[in-house]
Amino acid sequence: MSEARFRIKRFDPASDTAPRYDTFVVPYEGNLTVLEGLFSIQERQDGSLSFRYCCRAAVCGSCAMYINGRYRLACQTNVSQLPAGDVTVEPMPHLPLVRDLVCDMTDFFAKYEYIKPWLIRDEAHDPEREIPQSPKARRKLDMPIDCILCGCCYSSCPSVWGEENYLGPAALLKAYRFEVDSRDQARRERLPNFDNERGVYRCHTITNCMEACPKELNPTEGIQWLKGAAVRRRLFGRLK
Amino acid sequence: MNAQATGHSSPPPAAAGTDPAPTTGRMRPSVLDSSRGGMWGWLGQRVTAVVLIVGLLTHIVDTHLFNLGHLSYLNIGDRLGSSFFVVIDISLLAAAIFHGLNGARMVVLDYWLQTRASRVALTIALWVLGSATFVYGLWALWPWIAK
Amino acid sequence: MSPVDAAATNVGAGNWKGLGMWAWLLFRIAGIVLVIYLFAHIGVISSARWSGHSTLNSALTLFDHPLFVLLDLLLVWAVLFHALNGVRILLMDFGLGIHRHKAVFVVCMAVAVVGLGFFALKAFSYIAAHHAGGLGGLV
Repeated sequence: MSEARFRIKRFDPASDTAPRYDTFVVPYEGNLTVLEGLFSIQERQDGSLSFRYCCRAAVCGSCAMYINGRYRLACQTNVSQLPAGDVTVEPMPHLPLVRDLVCDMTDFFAKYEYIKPWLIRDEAHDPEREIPQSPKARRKLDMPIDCILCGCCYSSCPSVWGEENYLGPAALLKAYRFEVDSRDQARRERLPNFDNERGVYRCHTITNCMEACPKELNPTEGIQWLKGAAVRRRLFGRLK
Repeated sequence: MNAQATGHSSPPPAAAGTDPAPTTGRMRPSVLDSSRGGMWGWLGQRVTAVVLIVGLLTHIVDTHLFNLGHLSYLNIGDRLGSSFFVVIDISLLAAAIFHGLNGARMVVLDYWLQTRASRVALTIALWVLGSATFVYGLWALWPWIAK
Repeated sequence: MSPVDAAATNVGAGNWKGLGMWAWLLFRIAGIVLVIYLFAHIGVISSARWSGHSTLNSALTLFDHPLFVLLDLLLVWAVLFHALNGVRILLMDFGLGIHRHKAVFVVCMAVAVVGLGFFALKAFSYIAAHHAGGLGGLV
């Protein structure tokens, strides 16, 4: 039987005047992920602890938190991987707080929606069958398609901190995911939404997003590609 | 709904008769709509950066590395007397003013000025300031340009 | 943002670890310093047209003071840092070295340090040759 000490940042804007850290000791056998630790605390010690989770397999992006000073997904962070000592769990920095470890992701998803995250096609001419894509063209999607919209990059970006209307790395990475897709036929539909002073040009290649991503993706690479694509299309009239 | 889930050209329609959900968001799509463009500033910053790297290297190396010592009106004038350095200095003047003021604009917009009107006002003000500085700089260099 | 809000939203929690973040911040500060210098520089050079050669010459004599030579070194550092980090950013704009941006940063800074060393050598030998008697009585 082992024990892990959790130090959790607590704050309920409805009743508290200042945040505080609560400490809980969680006994466990074998392995313990941070998310399992939070479940145990919620069930056995403090039912008022709030946090988001869903899939427990690092594919839904709900449980992104700031654990021991790094952006991590609680479900894929094993306590044994962390350095010895307390497990410090905080909400993602710089995002409006709903309660405890739950951040307000309203803006995050509004920005995601703004870049039109779907394949834009000329439907009148679509065949009555699937749209083929070569393995080579598919490989271009390998990186951006793995984004699970957890919000870590968005929370880590200094350009987001300074400006509530900047789209942020996650939405722009998604714009890249669709723009680079060989099946996408967007010409001017999506371009002005990312070729925008509050879109790609607000990115100053600070690279915090690359450090933060728990899936080890590279939003900077996608944003840089979008800047190049905007120049190619506006200056040289390339469609894609 | 379209049978091809990947094929729609517009967002899935909201269920009829429902109000939009109450929002706590501060992001305003209209602010983004009014911020379209920006490629020219971005591209200009890159082009002038290259001009500055090449030009400034020439400017500094010649002024201080080979001639480090006491500078005076006359020995600056000697250097400026060659048309090569007049061309370098004028292009440096233009590139540095654009690069500097466009950079300052970027810093300001990172933190302030949400509305389109205020951004346009800032852009116009900086163009006026930049042009005036360029003309003033040309005037300062004129005795050597005219030579 | 009120202090309570700032604490609640966990502002500033340990985001200052990434190298890219510091590179950007110093890049920005150096840029602001250089904009101020640009206008000062234009002002000084143009003084010759306002009140004759003697104004510019006396300003230039003042700039020979070791203190100003040392300030020049700060300026050289601002230029070198901004220029070489700018090269790194230009490379990233062409899609080069995004994954290895830290290594690119180290190489760029090595070049900047060599450049600064070169100018420092020049500056200190200049101070030694012209102001061997120390800093006093020169202005």
